[in-house]
Amino acid sequence: MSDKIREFNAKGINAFRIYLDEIKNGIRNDLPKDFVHKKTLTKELSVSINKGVDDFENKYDMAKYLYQELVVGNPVKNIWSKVGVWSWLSAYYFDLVCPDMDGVRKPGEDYRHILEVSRLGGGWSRFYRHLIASPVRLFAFSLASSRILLSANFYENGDFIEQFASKREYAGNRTIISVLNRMYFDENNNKAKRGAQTKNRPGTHRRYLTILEQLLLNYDIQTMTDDELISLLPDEFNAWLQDPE
Amino acid sequence: MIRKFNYTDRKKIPLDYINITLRNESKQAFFDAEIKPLDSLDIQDDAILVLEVFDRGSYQRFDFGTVEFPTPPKAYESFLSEIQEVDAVSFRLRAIDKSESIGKIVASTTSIRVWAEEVSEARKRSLLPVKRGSIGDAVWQVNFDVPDDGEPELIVNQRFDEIAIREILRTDAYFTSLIYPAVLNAILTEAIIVRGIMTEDSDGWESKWLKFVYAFSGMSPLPENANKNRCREWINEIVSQFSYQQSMLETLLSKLRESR
Repeated sequence: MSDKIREFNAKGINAFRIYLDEIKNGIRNDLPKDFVHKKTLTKELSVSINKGVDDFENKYDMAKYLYQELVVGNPVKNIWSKVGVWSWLSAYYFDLVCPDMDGVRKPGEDYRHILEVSRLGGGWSRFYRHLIASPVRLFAFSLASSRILLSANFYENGDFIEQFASKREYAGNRTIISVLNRMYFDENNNKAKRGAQTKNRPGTHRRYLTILEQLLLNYDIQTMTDDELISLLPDEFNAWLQDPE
Repeated sequence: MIRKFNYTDRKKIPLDYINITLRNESKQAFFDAEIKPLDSLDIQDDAILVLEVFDRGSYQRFDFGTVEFPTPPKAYESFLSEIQEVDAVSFRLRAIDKSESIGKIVASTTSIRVWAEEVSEARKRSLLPVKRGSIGDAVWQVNFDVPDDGEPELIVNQRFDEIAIREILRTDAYFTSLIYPAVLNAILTEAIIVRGIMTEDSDGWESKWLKFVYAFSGMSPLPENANKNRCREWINEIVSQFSYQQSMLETLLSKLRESR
């Protein structure tokens, strides 16, 4: 299967918004067939994709694939601000980002599907919630270390993204994300370590966030290596730095 | 005079050591930076310099050489590709230790706000920058969480039209009479009660606001030992004076009468 990537025009985005409303209000349960290929609503780009909704193992896998197709070599100019492309991809992979669960789809807020960029004071705060653009951007920032951020289901952001990717200066700080990945990602099982998100447990990711806020007052973490940052963390994080048994 | 602990012995890079201007090329924002030699500031020569650029929702950073050899980015390298609001951008230059306590910030400027050329002088002089932002369903909010003691900002909900809201905030009696006194109250409460600053002799935004307040109200400063209740009373008096001088109640009442 191979498809040319397309870009929604203004009418296409408007139509997508209306369909999302209709799904939220129970008027329809899916996007119309062939919506993503309508020539009046979309423009074809020169880039192709050959993976469909069933071809990705997880969100990381999807982000890595789309990064290679859309970002490496810069095949689409100004890709991060291409609202029409990212929104079209959301519609194209709609079964991933808004799955039918027992006959019901829950799209949530429009900005999860229709990318919002460069809005005064609100750009990143909406961008990171887009269910396709955000994983690809986080992969672009941190490559393999983004696995922990992308360990949630396709249709949700998960707490690691909410806590660490919601601030642009954290999301783009490779050292912070790399240490986060080292501590809480279980390489053997390809998911977050058990108990990493348990509240009130020593050394969890929320404690890491609290410690980072203190360290950032005195340190420029971006210029540090992983080990230099780890050396500043209190002992409560030691257990998370060991490989799981 | 405000006294703050400086546990890490961080040096201050005075603002007159660096000059930053914004430049617009083909609708894209760039900056130009000039820096004076830093050798008189007693910062280790090999500390690396990083110029951080930020606004409320975005962040970008540029390598700037070392303390011994500051190297501003070349003209074509200074594209503010990550910054959303390019008519008022905040910069911060930091010196980072790379030899002893690695990563430690050894010197820094405070936040430097740089305006784009096309921004009006009146807006540049404003004590209260107004921005649209993502604040849930709130109509407005005062943002005090501005890095490096940056001045507070009035955030209005981004669902307001960008052009219309500026005019509304300037002229609409419903908005001005209800929002501005509350904003003044919030800012004075933060400065005086939360941060405990009652004098106008420091570099921070709190002092600028106190100077402004003394100038229009003619009221005496609070005594240093004033308790919270006295501070609240004083703030209420100031807000009342401000509302009186701006005829806010009268204007609102007359607007309400007209609308009936």
